Amino acid sequence: MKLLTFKRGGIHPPEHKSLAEHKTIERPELPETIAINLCQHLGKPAKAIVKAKDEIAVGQLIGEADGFISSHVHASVAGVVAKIEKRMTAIGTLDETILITVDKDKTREQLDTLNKPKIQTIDALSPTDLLGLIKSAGVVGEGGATFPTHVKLSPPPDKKIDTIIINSAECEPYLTADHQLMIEKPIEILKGIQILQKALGVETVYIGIEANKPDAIRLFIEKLQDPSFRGIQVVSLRTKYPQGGEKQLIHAILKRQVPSGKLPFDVGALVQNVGTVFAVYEAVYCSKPLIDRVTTITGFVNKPGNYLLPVGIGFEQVISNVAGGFKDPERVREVINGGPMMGKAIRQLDVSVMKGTSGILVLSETQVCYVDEGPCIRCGRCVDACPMGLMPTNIAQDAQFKSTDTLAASMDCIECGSCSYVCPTHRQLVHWIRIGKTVFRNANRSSK
Amino acid sequence: MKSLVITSSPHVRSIERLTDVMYDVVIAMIPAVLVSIYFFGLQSLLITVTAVVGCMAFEALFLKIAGKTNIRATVLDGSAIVTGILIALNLPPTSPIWMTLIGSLIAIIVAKQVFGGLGYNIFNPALVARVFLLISFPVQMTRWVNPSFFKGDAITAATPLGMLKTDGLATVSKTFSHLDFFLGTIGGSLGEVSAVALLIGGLYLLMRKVISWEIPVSMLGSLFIFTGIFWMLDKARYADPIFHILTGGALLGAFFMATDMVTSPITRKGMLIFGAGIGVLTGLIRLFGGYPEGVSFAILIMNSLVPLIDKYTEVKKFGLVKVKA
Repeated sequence: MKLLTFKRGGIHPPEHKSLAEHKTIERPELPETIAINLCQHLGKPAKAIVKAKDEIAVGQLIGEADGFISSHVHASVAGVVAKIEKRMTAIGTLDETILITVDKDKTREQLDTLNKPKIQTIDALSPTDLLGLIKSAGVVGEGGATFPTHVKLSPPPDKKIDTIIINSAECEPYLTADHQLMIEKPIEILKGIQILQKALGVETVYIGIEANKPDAIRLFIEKLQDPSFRGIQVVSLRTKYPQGGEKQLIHAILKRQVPSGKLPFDVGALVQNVGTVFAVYEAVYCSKPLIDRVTTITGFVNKPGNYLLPVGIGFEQVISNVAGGFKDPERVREVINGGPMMGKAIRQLDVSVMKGTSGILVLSETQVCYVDEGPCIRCGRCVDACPMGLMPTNIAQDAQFKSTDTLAASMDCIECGSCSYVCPTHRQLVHWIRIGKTVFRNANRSSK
Repeated sequence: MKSLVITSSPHVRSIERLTDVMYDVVIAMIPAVLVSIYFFGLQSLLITVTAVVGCMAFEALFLKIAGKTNIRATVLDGSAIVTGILIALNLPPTSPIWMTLIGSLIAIIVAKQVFGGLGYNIFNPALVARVFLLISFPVQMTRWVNPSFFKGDAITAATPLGMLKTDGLATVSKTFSHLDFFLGTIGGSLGEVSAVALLIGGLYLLMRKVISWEIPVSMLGSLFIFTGIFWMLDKARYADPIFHILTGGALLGAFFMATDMVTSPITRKGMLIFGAGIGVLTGLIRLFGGYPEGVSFAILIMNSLVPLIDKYTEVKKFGLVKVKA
């Protein structure tokens, strides 16, 4: 099969996927308490609708969406609300968080019923019904950006979507959660895709899988022999970072370029992460809200693997009880929420797993390097690596010197980190570009 | 557990470092240095060592006076070594030690550190040194000898390009064959004589992806075409294009000096323009200028145009397409 890919830039970092690859998804022991952040998504945080000492059930709505771009938050366990307070989240923000004391027996019992499919087909449901179910289940993009899925599925009426792309590239090194989910739940994922097809009235679907997951490609091609899955096609993508970037993926598969400053629906495409599709399936078939997700715990831990984690379980609990603990606590330097290229380093371990936590990566002193930034030697490697056709070193310099009139280009940066990765003098290019975006936004705001 | 470290993403980095790039360039120059020792004897080794030690010492001295802290790391990053070897390769085999040291001083202090050090210099430091010496000490800088490996002692001789300028093409053709240029049995600077040694080094740099093909190809290509046109017009007066590529500093410049990352354009398109400019300017100076050789001047002139070239060859952004209705 011909391997598709995006044209410009890209890098080939070492994959390190073998640590957690093909490890069966395990459901860990329930913790004593969990802490669910009310801002699990991009947009406005949800509003708490429970109070301390309230008794709650699994899947109960505890935070209500507030505004158009917002999403519901549900309880991932049964138990009693201990308190509601501001806490540090795994993405570094300070947000309202609901702490729940877990009732383990009740949780297990209620989860069993919740996990069972309640309907056999979606024939009786209209597109509006489907969107409603997805919205009330609090489904958000599980790839990391956590954009509320029901908003993404409701494009403005003048934008016609003709193609759905399922993002199964999983191009971040180390991470294997999407891969394992595809191996274990192919039929559920395909049924999830049918929901998206019906909700949007779109026939054509491409499942983009990187060539380093040949078993997943084979499995899906085999399952797609079933004539009931119409319009769905598997495409193999070349293993290259950032193949799973939304704009890169659309370009690789459809040869369409999302114009600068525009969104995928401007070229008639809609991209959904494969984990999100599974959440959509659960939302519709099981009436189960998004309360758990598959996360890869990997790196410098004793038992790397793929785990089905309840939203709100603490990182400390996850690493020590689920993943067998650090290999050597003295040598741990960084714990990352997400993958090594785009994930966020956390400051303390008492943060909780969120809907966007695709991986928890522990890096030891030998795996991270802290080298002071050197001068730019103008080697041009960042220009060659940038998948967006930018000149990272120039933007970084403009950001350093706050030269606002030339910083407009920074807004096209997808922050994939390819430029920083290749820089031989270890310049923090993406970091400077992020600062550049803020400088540019502030300058534009004050000039208005 | 020690406290966690917070860094900005990405949290993993390519293993390639600045020093790897610099030491690759050093490795690539080894064939040329060895050939120069073979042809010109220990004098050549002495010049090379003097230039390298001089560059590192002047850099350390400057950083100390300027009150910098990481002197050791900067001096050992390889860039001063590269500059030192390049200065040596650009000097005649009879260069006195004092002149070599002045060259190192000019290169490191005037051309590099005063501009802000590695990455901020506009002109190639080794070439600034060469041109400075050429203008200041024209006698010492043009005292050429024949490679002495088969004759035992050095005989004063002209470079092929010098001979072409003063005695005309007929004399050159009688004295040298193209094989002489290729192997290096001609007069010239330490690193200019052997085309084959420079080609080996250049191919190594290309293979290691330290340099890309754009600058060498466009520079040599445009030099070939430019001198080729005049050769076609009057074969008795103008030397053939192969002669122009194999003699003088053309190959040394194309692989080791024009490709200096700091002083060349950052975009691929810019590199093509930059190289082509050097080729044409070199041809112009060689055929019509006062000096027999023009590579150094051509590269320095094009160095000064790099910011302008970069500005007009910005890469095309992804997504600059019309929105389909």
